[in-house]
Amino acid sequence: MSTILSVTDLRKTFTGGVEAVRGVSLSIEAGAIFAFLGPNGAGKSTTIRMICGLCRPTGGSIAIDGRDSGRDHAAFMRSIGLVSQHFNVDDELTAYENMRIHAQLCGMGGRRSAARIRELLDFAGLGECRDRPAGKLSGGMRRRLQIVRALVHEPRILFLDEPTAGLDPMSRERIWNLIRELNASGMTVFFTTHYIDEAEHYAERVAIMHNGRIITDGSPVALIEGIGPWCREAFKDGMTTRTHFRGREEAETATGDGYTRLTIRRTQLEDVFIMMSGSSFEESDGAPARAVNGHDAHVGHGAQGGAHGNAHGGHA
Amino acid sequence: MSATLAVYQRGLLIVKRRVWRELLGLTISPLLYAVAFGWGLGDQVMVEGVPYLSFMLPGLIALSGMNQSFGIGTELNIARFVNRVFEEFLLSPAGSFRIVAGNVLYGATKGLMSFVVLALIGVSLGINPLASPMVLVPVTLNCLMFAALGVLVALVVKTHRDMSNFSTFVITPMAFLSNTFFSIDKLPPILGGFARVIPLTHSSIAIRGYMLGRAVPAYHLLILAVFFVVFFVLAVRQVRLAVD
Repeated sequence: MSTILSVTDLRKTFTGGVEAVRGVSLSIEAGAIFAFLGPNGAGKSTTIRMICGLCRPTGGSIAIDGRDSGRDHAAFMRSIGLVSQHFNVDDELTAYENMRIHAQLCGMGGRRSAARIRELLDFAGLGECRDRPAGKLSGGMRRRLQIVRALVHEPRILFLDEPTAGLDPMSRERIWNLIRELNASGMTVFFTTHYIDEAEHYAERVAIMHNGRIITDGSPVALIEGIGPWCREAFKDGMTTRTHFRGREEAETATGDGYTRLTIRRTQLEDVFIMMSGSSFEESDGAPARAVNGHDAHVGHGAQGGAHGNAHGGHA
Repeated sequence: MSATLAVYQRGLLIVKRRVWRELLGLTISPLLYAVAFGWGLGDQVMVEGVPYLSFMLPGLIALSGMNQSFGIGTELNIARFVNRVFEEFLLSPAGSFRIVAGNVLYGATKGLMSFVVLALIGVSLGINPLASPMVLVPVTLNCLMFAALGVLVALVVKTHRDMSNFSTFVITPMAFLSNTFFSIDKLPPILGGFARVIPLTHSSIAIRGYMLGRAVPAYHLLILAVFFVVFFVLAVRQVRLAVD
């Protein structure tokens, strides 16, 4: 497989000195489905916006199909499609008009674009809503409209920034079916999400971002295997200790001191994030990362039952 | 060209959707001015040798053209900060020039729509705004210039409030100090000097000149054209700087 997207040492410092992205490098192969996972404020959206030309990088380089973003702007923009996390469709225009304006903006006109728009609206299940103002479509339908609008000009890679944010479970599933179908037809998909289950289920490869940096990168299975696929969670005095193991038996027989509750479960991507960053997703929303202290680092949790502690794995 | 037309057509489609609201918006304000200042003072007051209504209508045409064309700025501001539709333009291969050109054409079209409404009001009051077809030159330049200014300001400001502040501190004072409702010769020297350099003054002088069958020095049109080009070029430059 050839590399379709290559990002090298991408950086962004906003006015006021806020370092949103601190040297991101990655390369993605054509046809892949790639997830950028991280809590709010990790730098995912800023990275995707820089790649798509909506935000000026402070440093670094971006190339799609070997074509540098700084050269031949029109060709570069033609090779990408972006679905923004905002519902940025023209509410007063119909679904069809939204698509047609996009096609014209991309230099497509006439019968060719009309046929493609019809085909895409049908593909997204919006064929019957083509003459309905976008503002009267449901959230899920508007998101699907955004997705097919981004495909009108036949991009090489589709970026989706939090594609299911704010949608109900049914709509989320429908969006994912659409994205998977696209990927199956050969489209390279790059999405950001803070829903861990989405990255785990749908991505072939995941990069976990924290504080503007990629802290780990690999397939969900490899990332989980890397820390141990079984997790032993011990609760004691309002503290959670997580330890990862290669096998369930090993996790069950491991000794622990005076816990009040013990859970043995499969390791999830969130555990990988906690392990690598030293904090949970929720804690990472602006809060400083907590220290990881060797084998049994303990981290207190809040009032809610969903404790998030850290422990370096005892896996083989 | 296709991308310019796309941006332009998007605007026209939106106008089409709200056609009655737009027409009402275009009509109410100038009609109120015409009633308050025109009929109120009527033919009894003469200014520069003509009845006040005949003096005021060209100023009103310049003023409405400015307001409507500059209004594209507010629409773009919403497109940037509220519904984020402006990102669609930036994400396309259209490029800055075409994005600005399409929006300026759209803004100018709304300004020209206000001219049509005011021309009809003028005809109903017994004034022929098209006595000289040459009046269309300053009317069009006025609309293009303020549409370009609207696009530029919308791309420079960082918030919706900034846009509103620009209107309050620049557009509204300009509306009253630009030979629209009274001759700038009546202004104190400092204000008069200021009035002579602001663009709306040249629009109202040129429009009034053609409508009243007077000689219009070419420099007024030249100044409007220069303002238009400067605002347009700065707006094109600002498109990429607006990214972030």
